[in-house]
Amino acid sequence: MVKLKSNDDKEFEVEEAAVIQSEMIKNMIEDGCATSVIPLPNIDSKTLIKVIEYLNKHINMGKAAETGEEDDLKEFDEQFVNMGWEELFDVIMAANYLNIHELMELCCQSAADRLKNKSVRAVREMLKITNDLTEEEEQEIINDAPWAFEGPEIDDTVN
Amino acid sequence: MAKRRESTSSNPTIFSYDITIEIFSRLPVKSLMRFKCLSKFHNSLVSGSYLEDMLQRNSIISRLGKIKFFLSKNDDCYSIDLEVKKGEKVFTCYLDFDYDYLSYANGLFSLWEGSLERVRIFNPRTREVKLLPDILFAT
Repeated sequence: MVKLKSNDDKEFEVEEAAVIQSEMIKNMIEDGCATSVIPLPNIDSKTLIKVIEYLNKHINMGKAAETGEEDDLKEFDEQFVNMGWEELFDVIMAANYLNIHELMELCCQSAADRLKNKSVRAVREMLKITNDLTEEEEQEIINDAPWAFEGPEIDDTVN
Repeated sequence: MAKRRESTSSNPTIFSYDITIEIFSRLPVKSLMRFKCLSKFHNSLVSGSYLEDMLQRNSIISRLGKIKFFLSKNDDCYSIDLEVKKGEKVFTCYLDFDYDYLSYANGLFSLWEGSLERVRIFNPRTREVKLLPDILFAT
């Protein structure tokens, strides 16, 4: 068992086989730097619980393929990313920090799916982007490809 | 490479450069062209070669690799999915120039008049058209 500590000082025990799906922790264990508790100063307990849930479910990936439980895993993934935008954002940051490749793929795909039909205004709000383009520069970009700014699918809501 | 990174303005978003690339490389072209308008950073990101590299590494291009575009007489652009052998009209592109001939390779059209005069390259995904400089043939 490996002990992980969130930035709000909560400790979680995770099976080594599950936790080494994180390249970062795998390297720490291989280098012998993970003797007691691994502190994760960038991850809060709420996010860490989600990540551990994912790691535990995906621990037997190879086995799942043999026993036909692949659909089950697919369904789990779909359910897993069914979370609020802020929550998804936290999980992406954690997956990136811990270097969990599959989780990163899953969450970035979900983020892209949520963003793809959004209006410029909506995406600026969702990603907290400060617009530093001048009105003229903005107009120039629109004039270059006006078709990209038109269409019934473009959604101005933030969620 | 390093030079391009320098010229990129500072990242004004909550996501880091790497995470933004991870997400943007999964977006369709139409969204990318629109999101150039988000900020200077996103404009140079979409216009730059990093994202292109990522798009090629990700499945997007490999999926598109099976698709061939062609133009019909009235400028409608069609794509054909070679896997299912099904054609689909993608959009009408209203090419505002004349051409006598065209050919297609690697996802790009080249169109020209007469004997290789006014050669243009047309990218059906971004709908960009570039006029090539005149070719001087050795006689």
